[in-house]
Amino acid sequence: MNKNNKWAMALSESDESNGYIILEVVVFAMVVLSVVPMISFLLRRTAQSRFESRAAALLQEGMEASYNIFMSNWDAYQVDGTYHPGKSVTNKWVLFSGEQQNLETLFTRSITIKKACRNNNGQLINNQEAVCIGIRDSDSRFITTSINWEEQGKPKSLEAKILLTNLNE
Amino acid sequence: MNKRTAIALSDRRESKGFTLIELLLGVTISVMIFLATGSVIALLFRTDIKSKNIESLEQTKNNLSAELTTSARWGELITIIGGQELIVDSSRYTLLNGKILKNNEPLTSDDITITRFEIKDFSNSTKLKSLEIRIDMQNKNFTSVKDTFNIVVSQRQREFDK
Repeated sequence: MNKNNKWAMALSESDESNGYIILEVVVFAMVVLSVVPMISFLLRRTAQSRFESRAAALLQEGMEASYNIFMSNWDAYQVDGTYHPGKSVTNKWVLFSGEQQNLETLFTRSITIKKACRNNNGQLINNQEAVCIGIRDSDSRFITTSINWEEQGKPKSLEAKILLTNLNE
Repeated sequence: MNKRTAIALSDRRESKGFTLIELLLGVTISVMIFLATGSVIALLFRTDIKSKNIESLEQTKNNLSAELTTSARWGELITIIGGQELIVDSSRYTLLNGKILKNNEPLTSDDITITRFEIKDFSNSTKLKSLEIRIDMQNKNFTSVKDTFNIVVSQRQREFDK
């Protein structure tokens, strides 16, 4: 066999062995690329649902505390203000001025109080606007609780609003 | 030696097999790949189990929140006994043997242990109660899977003074 044939045989064998190696690497890469994202997805999904669950609990706390405060003393706090709930030294719910930051190191909570605005038929109108084009209803209040936080650099929020009506003297 | 014999001998040498070093290297690399694959599969399995246990805990939390919130919110008469027992009308909620019971029937499943059930009253008036209920719980088989949560619920006004 001459030199050229030997070279051709050697090259041919090396081509086959290179082909097998590439195939193995591709299969291994496919397995790794499918398994690793699956694991990180499972872990991230578990963490995300816990953040939202905690945010929902804080939201409910704000709403429930506000309800008890206003049903006990309707004129306790000024409308068009921003507050956050807390406990007094006598173990009663109170509202403090301003929003609450670094709640459970992650969340920001605020409660806003606005008077309701009604038309001549008693229907609610422009309830979020500063200027009421109808009649201001001093016996109705919109209580909005907001929770904000950041998750992986993205802002997230939850909000709930209730309409309280004072039917007591 | 003529050319044909030389080529035959050369081919036979090439097809004889692997050298010892190649064999050892191949076995080592194979073992490493098997170990890596096995670790990944074990990690996947553990993550799946942990994820399921966390979901079970979340489900229990949601169920307890719904039950206690609905009961206290619309109840007429709420009584707290010793900060660890809650009575809403004819329903009695207590902690016994790691389970929360409603009228002696368990509200929590066997794989969850409740380690704390505490009720405090932060209401501003005697007419309407506003409760903070603190519950600590953990998975019975995986005690590292645990959670603490507060349920705040205010009794709704059903009678008006006007």
